[in-house]
Amino acid sequence: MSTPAVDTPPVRVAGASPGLETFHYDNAIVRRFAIATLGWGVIAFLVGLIVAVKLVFPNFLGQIPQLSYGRLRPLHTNAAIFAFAGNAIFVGVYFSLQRLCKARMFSDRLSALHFWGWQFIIVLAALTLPLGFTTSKEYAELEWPIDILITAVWLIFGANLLGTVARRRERHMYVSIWFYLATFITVALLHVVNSLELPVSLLKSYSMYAGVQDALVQWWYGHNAVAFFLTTPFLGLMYYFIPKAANRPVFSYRLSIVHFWSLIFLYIWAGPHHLLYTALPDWAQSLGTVFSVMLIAPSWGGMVNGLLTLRGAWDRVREDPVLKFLVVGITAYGMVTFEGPMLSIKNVNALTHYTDYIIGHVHLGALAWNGGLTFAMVYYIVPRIYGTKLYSTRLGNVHFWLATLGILFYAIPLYVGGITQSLMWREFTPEGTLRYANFLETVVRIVPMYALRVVGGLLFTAGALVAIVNLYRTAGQGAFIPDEEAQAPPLLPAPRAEKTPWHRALESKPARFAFLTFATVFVGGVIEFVPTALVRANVPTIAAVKPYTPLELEGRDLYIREGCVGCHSQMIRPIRSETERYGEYSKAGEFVYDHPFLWGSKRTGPDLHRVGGKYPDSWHYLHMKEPSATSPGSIMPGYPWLYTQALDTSHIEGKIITLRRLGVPYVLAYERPMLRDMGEPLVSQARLDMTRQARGIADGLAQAGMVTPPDREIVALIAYLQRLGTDIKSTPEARTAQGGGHPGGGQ
Amino acid sequence: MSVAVAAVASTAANASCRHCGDGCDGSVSDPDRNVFCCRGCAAVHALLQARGLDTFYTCDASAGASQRAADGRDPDRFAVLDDPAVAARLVTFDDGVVASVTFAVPDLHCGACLWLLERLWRVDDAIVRSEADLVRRTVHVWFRPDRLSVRGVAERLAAIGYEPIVAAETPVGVVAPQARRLRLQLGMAGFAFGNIMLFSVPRYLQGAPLEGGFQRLFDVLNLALATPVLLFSAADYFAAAWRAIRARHIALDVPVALGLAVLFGRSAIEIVTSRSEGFLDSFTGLVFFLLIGRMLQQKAFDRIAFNRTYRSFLPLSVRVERKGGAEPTPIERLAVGDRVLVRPQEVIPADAVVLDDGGVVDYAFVTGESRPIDVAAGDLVRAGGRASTTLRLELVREVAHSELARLWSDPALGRVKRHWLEDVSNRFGAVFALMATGLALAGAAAWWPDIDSAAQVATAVLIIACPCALTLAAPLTLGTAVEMLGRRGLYLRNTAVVLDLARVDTLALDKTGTLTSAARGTTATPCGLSELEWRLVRRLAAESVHPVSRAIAAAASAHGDVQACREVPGQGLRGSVDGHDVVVGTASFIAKACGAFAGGSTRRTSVAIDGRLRGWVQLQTPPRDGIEATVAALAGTHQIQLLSGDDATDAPRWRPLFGDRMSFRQSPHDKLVAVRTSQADGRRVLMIGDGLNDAGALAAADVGIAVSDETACVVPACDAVIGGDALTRLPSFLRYVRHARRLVLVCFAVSVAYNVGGVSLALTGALTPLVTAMLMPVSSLTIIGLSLGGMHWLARELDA
Amino acid sequence: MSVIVLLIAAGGVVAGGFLLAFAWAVGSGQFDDTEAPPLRMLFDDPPRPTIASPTGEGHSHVHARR
Repeated sequence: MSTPAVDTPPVRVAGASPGLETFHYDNAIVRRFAIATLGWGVIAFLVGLIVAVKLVFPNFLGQIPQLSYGRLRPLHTNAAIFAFAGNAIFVGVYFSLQRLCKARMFSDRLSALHFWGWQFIIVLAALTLPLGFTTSKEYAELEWPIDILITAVWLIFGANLLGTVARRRERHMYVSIWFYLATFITVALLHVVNSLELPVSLLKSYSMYAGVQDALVQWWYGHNAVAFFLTTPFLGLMYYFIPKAANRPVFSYRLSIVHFWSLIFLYIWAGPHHLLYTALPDWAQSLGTVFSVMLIAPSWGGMVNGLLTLRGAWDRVREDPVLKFLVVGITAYGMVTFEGPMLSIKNVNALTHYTDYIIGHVHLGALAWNGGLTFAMVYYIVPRIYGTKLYSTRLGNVHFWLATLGILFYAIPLYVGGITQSLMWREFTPEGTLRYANFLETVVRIVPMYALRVVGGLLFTAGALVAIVNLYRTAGQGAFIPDEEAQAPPLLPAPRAEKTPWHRALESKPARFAFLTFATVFVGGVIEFVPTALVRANVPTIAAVKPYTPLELEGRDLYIREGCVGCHSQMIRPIRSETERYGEYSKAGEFVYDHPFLWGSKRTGPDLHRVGGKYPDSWHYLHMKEPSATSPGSIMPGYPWLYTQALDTSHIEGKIITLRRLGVPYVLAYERPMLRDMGEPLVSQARLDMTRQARGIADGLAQAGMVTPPDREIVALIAYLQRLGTDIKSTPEARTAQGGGHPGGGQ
Repeated sequence: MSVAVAAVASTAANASCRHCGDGCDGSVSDPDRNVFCCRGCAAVHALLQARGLDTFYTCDASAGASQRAADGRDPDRFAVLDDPAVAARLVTFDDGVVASVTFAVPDLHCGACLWLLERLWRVDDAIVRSEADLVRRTVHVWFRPDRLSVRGVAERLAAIGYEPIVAAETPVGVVAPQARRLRLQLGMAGFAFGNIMLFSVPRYLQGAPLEGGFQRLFDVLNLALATPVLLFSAADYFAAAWRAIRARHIALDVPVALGLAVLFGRSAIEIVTSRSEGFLDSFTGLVFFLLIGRMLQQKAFDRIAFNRTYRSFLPLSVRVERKGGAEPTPIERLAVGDRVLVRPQEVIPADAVVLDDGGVVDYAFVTGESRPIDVAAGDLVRAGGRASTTLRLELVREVAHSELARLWSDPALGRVKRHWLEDVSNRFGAVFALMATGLALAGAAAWWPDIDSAAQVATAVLIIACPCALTLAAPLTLGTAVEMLGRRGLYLRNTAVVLDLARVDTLALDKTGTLTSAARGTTATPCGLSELEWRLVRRLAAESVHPVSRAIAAAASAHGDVQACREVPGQGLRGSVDGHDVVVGTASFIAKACGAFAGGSTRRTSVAIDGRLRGWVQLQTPPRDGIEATVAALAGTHQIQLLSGDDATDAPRWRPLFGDRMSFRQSPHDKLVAVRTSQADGRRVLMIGDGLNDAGALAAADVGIAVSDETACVVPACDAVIGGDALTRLPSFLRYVRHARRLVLVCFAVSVAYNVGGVSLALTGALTPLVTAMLMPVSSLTIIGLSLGGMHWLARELDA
Repeated sequence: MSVIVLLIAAGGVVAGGFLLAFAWAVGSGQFDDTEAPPLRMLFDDPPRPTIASPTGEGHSHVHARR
């Protein structure tokens, strides 16, 4: 028989006798990722439950800063996407890739590095987010050191992936592998481009881009995060696990190939449709819309292919939990990928954007599509790596129904609630005034829906727990096979008498010339434009718009820290109902100094772009301490700690320097200590302005009978809120009068 | 390799074979009481079990191919592969350690086959790796040349039930490079098209150029994307146009190429001079659609070879008697005077003289004459005949000069058929090219003083007049038709055949193997014999292996004890059954045996019992099930005639269908002439036949369809191959292609309408880029929808 | 909206990369047989005790050739 084979295929040296190779699939890494998936999954669900409850009982879990809604929400989204779905992807990839390539993973060390690195990142996220270290960019909240770590770990994953493919013993690369490769490359690119930020300190940074530009990059990323992190890899997994589970070949392999390439050639452009009616140029918005609508085709191509694969296996679908979850997953995928494009049509978007409808939409995708595929996958994999059958099909079915009901109880109330609220927002009396001028009325109306959604969440989480028990028992009744033996002949050179057409095509003059021209002209075109474009930030700048004062800047960072952006938008769309309710619609020019942008994507509370000067400082003071005091029925939690904690101003110089580097015109040496204030130590103009503005606000509050030291965080926050959206109405002088020096005034 | 096969009484009748699932009488089974249709299947099954490969049966119940044919096969049939020259032709790669060879395995058809064929290393560990190709039905094997020979590989394949085709043809399993090239061209076009659309959408929606230099950026990017499409994806169209012009006939490619060139050229100029954003979206779109059409059209049936030379009917080698036994020799090395040994079921390589008495040959394949012929020493046998017994022959002609070879020297076979489609396309092409250029000039003239708009109009006309939709219509419609028919067992050589098939008005049919199924063998029917006598005859015949005796005995197993049975080769058989003296054989034999004079044909097999002539036995091949109905149906729509190489014995059966339009004992040449004559009467003839004797007629006819009971088996040169069981659906096939033809014409009309409309717009100069961008893809899409949808919809009644 | 240029550049590079990948795949015959792969991926047979001796003939032929 052949020489006993090593786990890595030997390089064929002349004279060496090739023969059947025996090697081992690495199941240990698969198990690790599976455990992580389920563990983090439950945590993600629980945090989700907590924030869901907080929308009904704002002070649930008391008023602990680290457990406040604003800080937990990003934790929930990150845990769900990167901890649950992320690990799930790795489970499926590590299991299927080895078998599709008939080879062990390229390197056990890389596998381990990848696993522990990824879990470490998640732990860091779980620590930093509740502590308020966030960039406030959705699904990219993690601060710069963690971003770098993510890049590193992702590259490790990529190396392992490519290495395995390179060492495969199967000549044909099954379509799933292509989906995995696409995932690796695109996500790497998206992450890097979106996370370009300039550090202030170890855990504080400002986005490279400002305002509109930042928004565009963010949603280009935001959409593609969904496209390439929650769709592409799962499609790859679908193309592997559906045929496997149903034990029948995919309905049309040709279609799957077309599906992949059409998706990959175009998908990357998606994104702008998340910014309809915003300050983004019209044509870019429309492009986004057209594009998303076009995407129905490839998405449904995949769904149809998946469903038709099960044609004739429906009898088995009735019994097998794996198939059940797959069916629900694909069906949901079909619904979501239809809904998405619809939502990107302007009029629909006007209705649904900022509402809970979107929350329902994404959860349908996350729970049914990603969740469904994930659970199907573990139900398929775990028995196999333990060399046994699933402990209990009945428990599996219980889980299935709990999950399905959970999803329905979650999505439907939010759909209803979202539409209801949106309609109330835009309803006018015959006299032409808003029927529900008070935002709270619209909130109170849908709180019951929030309550129902908690039930949905509970059901789904319960289901997950049942699954864990079932899988634990399954593991118990079997014996784990860490290294599964397999055999395959080595991949020998394909007989190729003449060069492949591709080579010849390349060498044939026209084609070579063609590709070269494409490359050169493309690169040339871009190079010609990048510098000019970057110099000329062709956003209509408004003379009156000035950089934030140091105190406002600190206030803004508090706003970011507390995750206010999770519930309050800062983007008034040019729609009557909105201008009526919030005031003048937002202009691109107003955000030129916003690093990062804080437009937000959800209005659990009202928009705040024009809140500046709308209420007296005293109102904000009372409201932030206990919202229901000023606004009965409000579901906003109180922020008592803002009143006790002193504002940490230690980084203000750094912040100003950083922002200046990013093009914010703070006057020269604004942050340098230079003024000699008789006998006192050196202080910078910035600090003087800060203390002066703070004192001004504190005095004002004192007059209103609310005594507070000027160095408290609440003061800075009030300063920021009062500044919001005022630039275009107030003149600089007016502001100087009320204490705030305008640091940009110098030039 | 030998397998213990216990024969059991025919209890488990109508059981299905464990290996291939065919019905079987249960005469063959193995110790595990698995039943098989034949020893071959049993052998394969035993081997698979021995090698732990019986998972094969679990992936797909009884997926094996029936091995009935295997029984008679010569164990040394692959000996020729030991000849280095022959082996070298098949080996694709050899570095001394590993060598690789590709074989065509027609029986490869399902997942189970795939699974088995890719695990050859379990059958023999000298085989390192094997990869099967389901599309081409080939298996590529890497093996250790130091431990296994090419012959060994072939034998392993045969042993597990996949008889490899070892024919003196070009190496199998090679992918046509242009197929890959087309995929790449299509991918490039699709890529460019998609992205250019994206860059163009904002402009459409805004109607005005974008601010901030973005329009410029997008235009430049579009140009970058479109260039490779022009130079690579569309290259073939320009090449074709150039060839057409050189050949002095304006095919449809010419105006297409013209249109595309102008489309790109003008766009490029407009962009470079930053006048407008050009029509690059339409340009890439059109190329993309054209290539899709081409893709469909190119759908070829790799597993069927439509072109055959006489070589492909001959064995690779025969055993030549040399001092020291018979040694296998490739047929190209055969010389006149060689003494060769031809085993049963083998084909006679060249015209030769028989050396021993008692041989039996049948020319069913060459002449259509199904009746086996007895040959004695000194008789001349012709190449292409199949030996029923082992023959010793002395060659009297070179292989290349045998009658078989001469069939191919007939000019009819050399002649390239002119397809109606080509005529049409050429006619259209000329018209379009002239009209387009004419109109362009006219338009230019009309706007003359103003050179700029003159150029604008002229180019616009040329762009719009580009008959892309027209070019799409035929390939899409016919391509779909070819595929639809292929799924149902009629494999057309190319899309043009569809139209030719739609235009035939006369059908010429061969009998043996066409109306009758060679697969079902010959049956014997008694004439003038009583039940008892017939039983005696059958019982006696069972003692002999002569094909005629086999046919007689096959009717049903008969009992009775036989004594003193003796056979006179080429004459007949005599013996006593249950005490009766039974004589079966030629008239002369019977006369000699018992003085009884048998009248009638001397070729007839007569029967005498106890010294008195009792009757004779009629040999005939049974017709295919339901063939009468089919022929009747065809007679309704077409003029039909029967051309048989066989004798007129069963003429009566066919008379009701063909009336007197029947001719028998037709030599290959007669058939060819018959076809030519009716063509001379201005009829368009469809010839349907299976044998070599039909080759001439098949080639001469407007459309020649070869009948084949296994698509893998050898068929003469033809325009199409039809599976034997699909033959009865011929009427619906013919209806389908007639519909297809009408649909093509409709598409032509629609696309011409688009062109006319567009051109009139262009002449008025009212042709904005947006209109063009819409009009051209839309027209193409209409055609795509119309043709694909139409053909699929029409295909329903194919199954009805 | 200078940043759009950046996004186009990024997107273009990726898309172009995939175009090349596609070219490689086509050229190396990845899509020549689209019927076998979907079936092949279904087979994950456990390793078998390997068979010691091939069926004699293999060698005999080799001898015959020498």
